[in-house]
Amino acid sequence: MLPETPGRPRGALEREILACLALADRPLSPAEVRAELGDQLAYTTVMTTLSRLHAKGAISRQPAGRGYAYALTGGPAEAQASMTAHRMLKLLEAGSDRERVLSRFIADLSHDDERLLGDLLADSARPDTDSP
Amino acid sequence: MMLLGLIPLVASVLLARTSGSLSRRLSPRAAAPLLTLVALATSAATGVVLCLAAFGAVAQLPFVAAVGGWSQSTWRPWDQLSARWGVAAAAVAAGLLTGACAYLVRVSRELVQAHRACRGLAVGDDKLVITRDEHPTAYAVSAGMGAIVVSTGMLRLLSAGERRALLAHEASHLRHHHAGYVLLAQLAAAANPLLRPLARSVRLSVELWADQDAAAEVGDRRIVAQALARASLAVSRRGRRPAVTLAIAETDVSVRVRALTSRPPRLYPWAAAVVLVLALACGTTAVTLTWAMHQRIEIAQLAYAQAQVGAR
Repeated sequence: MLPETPGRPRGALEREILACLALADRPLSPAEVRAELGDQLAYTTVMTTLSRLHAKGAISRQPAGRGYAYALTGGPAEAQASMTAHRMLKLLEAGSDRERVLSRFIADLSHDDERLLGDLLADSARPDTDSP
Repeated sequence: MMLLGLIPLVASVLLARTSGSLSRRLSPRAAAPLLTLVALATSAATGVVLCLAAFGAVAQLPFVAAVGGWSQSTWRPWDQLSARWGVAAAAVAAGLLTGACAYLVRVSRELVQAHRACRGLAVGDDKLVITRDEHPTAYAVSAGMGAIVVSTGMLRLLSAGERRALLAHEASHLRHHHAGYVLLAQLAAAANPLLRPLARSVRLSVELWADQDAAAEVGDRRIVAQALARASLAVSRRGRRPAVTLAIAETDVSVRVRALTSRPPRLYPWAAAVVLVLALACGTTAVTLTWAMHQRIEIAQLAYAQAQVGAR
């Protein structure tokens, strides 16, 4: 087994790969996943992590060319999890202080905040990731 | 003795006034545990002092003295608190204790709900749950095994580097048990409302801590700031704001973005010493006053026993 990639704690690369597969509308080959992650990862690292995820049943694979293409499992189990997550969020948001149990990534913004954040994104606008 | 009892109150006011600057002078990973500790110590000491004051006054009442078997006359000349103050202290103590209990009940219920929901999430050891939902959401659930829930709508907004930053931020919350600090600080604030600003500082500290972890992992603070900005703006522009928008000039997001884009602030290790001294002072006060009260009861009981023997 390969050592963990430097700078990534345990499980981080697995999460990134899952996120990447969730966005794709078709199964992806290891090379495509590697290009999508865009972090100079070794091909073998991506390959190993994909196999590990597949072995755990987190993702499915199908033959494509000489290797495999990977996708999220989908199906009833995933739909169930998705629904549960949605219900949980609704339930906890109903509380007077919904942030007690959930730590959300973002908070509510004031108008000044919106300007500050807009400026930040305008400064760092790159043609490939610029949002409209 | 009376003045000693004011220490927790003075500490509460001091902490409320300085919680913002204290947290800025400490690194977030030191600020979160230190501020949580001092909040708990101050809150507990406040409760102890109020209970002792209430007891000291109530103990002068004849029937209480009879039940306790201590001499009412020995007790009285020592006590500077009138019964009226004692009743006031008892009322405040009861009110604060009720607040703390109500908070505990609410949090326990929410934790149980979240724990049950987490079981249904089928969380693997990567702890990530991706929901097929175009509304951008991302959060860490700290109940049970812990889970990171992210919607496809959120993932779609971000570049690969920003996605990595977002996932690293949430993973840091789970890895370092950030929700625990926030819950304990909020419990302290429920038992002593003067400490509310301190609880808010703890909440901000854990966010800054997770942002720092994410920046260290991605190797670029700016990418974390961009992820935060893009996600916040997208949610904000969709108009799904809660009915009550906080009417404060600086919300946590702008503080976090500034922390990520400006030069790291100079840290002052003595701020940690100040916090520790306050925590220690509160703890010592509670112990000293309790011990003194115990001594007084012993002496009053001795006087009572002697009077009984003398009467025979």
